Amino acid sequence: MTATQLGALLERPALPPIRTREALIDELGKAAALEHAILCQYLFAAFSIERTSPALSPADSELARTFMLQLLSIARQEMEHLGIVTNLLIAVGASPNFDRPNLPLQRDYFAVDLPLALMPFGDEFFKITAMLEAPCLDPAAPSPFITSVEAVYSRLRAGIQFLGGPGGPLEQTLFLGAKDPQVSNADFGATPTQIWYSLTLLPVVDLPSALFAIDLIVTQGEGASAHDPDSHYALVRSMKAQWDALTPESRAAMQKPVPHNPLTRERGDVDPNADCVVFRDPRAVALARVANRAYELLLLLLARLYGVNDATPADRDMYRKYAFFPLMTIVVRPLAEILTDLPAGDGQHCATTTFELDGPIRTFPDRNSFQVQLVERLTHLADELAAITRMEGVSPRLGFVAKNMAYVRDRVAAFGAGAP
Amino acid sequence: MSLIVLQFTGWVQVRLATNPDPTDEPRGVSGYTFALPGEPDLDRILRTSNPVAPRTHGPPIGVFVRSVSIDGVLIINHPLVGAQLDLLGNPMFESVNEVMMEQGEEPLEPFDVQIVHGGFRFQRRAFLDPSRPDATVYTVPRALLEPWRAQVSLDTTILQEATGGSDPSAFRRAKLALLQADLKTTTDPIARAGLTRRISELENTDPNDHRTISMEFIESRHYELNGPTALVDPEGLLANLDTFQTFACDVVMGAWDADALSAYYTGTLALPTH
Repeated sequence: MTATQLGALLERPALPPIRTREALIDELGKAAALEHAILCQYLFAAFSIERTSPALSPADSELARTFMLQLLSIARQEMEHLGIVTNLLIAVGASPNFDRPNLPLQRDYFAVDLPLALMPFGDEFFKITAMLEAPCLDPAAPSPFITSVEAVYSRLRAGIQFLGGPGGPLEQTLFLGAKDPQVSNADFGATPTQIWYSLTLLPVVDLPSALFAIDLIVTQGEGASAHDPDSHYALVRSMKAQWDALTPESRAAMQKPVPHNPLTRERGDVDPNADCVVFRDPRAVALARVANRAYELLLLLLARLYGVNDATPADRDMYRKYAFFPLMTIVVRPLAEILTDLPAGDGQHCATTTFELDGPIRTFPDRNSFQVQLVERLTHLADELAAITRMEGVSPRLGFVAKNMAYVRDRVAAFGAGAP
Repeated sequence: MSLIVLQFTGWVQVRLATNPDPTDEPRGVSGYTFALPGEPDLDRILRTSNPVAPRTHGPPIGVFVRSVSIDGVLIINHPLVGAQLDLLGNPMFESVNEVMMEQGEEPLEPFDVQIVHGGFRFQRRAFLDPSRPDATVYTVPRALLEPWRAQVSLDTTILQEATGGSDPSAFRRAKLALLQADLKTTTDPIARAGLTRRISELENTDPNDHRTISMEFIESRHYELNGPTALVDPEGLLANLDTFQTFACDVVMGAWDADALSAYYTGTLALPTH
């Protein structure tokens, strides 16, 4: 135990170990929110990279592209972690959790002492990711706060083993939801261990598969060993070394003027001590809000994909089809990129995506009601995007997003009407 | 009444972003295709000739009539052998990140065939909706779009025909060796940055990765050329062409070389005569 941990313990009691199903579900829900926040951090940093500036040399331009590629790959693996944690939630009899607090996160929100904030690519970003991904010297040490991602999974692993292991209080019943719908490689036509788009979605049906899933997450994050070159920790360190070797001019040319912790409005749930920038440009505010609504819709689709509900297999195919492609690819990312062409309105920064959620991600129990609301939401998105496209100074690329959103709306409506 | 069948083969260039990059991504980031330093942005256009920024050690771009048969009988030395086939109007693959259809199955639109040989010129387009020539993949009813969906299979027959080999990994290893040798003698910083990117992509040896496995993808598409026919035929090579009928064009694309952004293109065009 470090002196810091000891000092903290004197102030507050250590977090209790997981000893009941409800505690396990709470901790899994927290892990889902953390993975969700971390993937947003990586996406946010990736979208802040300038890779086509004429100020970049050909080699630097390629390096900027590589940085963005690596960040997006890590973000996809964080999505995989969120998916695996969701499978764990389903397997132990809970519902999925795609909710999360807005960023930057307050330390006391989850008893998490981790730097969860939206930082553009650069020195500050490397500082917080090094803390997030670093292997923990003693992840099982008692502490009043979660101080590493590894510690989250160390607690979960110990709790699952205690509850569902030999002689455990829930040895026979921990995996109540093992047969309930999860999302795994099989849903995408991939073999169980195949890696596709950097992802391997593992189903969880029993104790060995649960522990294997947790070990995979830890290995991908912190590495199987201190020298694992494929871990997020090693990748971030490698990127940092390349970043440090660049001239100040090259570094500046690779950074869009993206602010720390952007928001579309003041929010009471974010860390009050963190630097935040609230957009003032009306186009930036309008487009960032639409981007957040599109992101929220993606989460609503995911929430319907997991666990027991009245969705038919065809419904689930449709949810999966539109959540992964195209909402992630042709809506969320392009909107983030288009936003950086707009000013934030503070005289210093450009706009960017803010990944804000206006409320909890609800689970809709009725398929017919959800279908109606899905079409309503898609219609709002398409109409609002079309309206913003007409604003002065907005990238014409937005018209392509708006056109595709309208087409998706029509396809989803046709699905509801029973058309092929 | 006779049926003249032109059989054509060649290589096409398709400079497109691939999933999970957005369809309109100009340079390529998270997919497996990229615009290299010094190259113009990706544009999704299938080019049958005049490639844009063709890459070293890529195949020669061009599609040509290889044989002609009439009512199933091969006509040796038919004057149209060697004619150049082009697709006009900047055709694009319209998957749009699966908004339209899954990548690989998506329609290629427009499909407007031109065959030129000396003073001979034939041109006819397949319209999605012949009653509405301005209809696009976005505006045409799905019932009319579905016939444009490609049938996709996975094997090495086209790869063998196109390259003489059936091992995608061996093909990529050979290309890698060529590029590594080039890099040793290249000093221009733009060329070096491009070669370095290509080499790093070819160093991905996962046989199931899209870079490799897509060499075995075979996409088969069927079109009915149903627009007005333009024909300049001073020698009467297609005399008595029955332009009141639609013309069937079956196309197979395969041997997709993600490094060269090129694919093998082969097919037939059936031309009925009175």
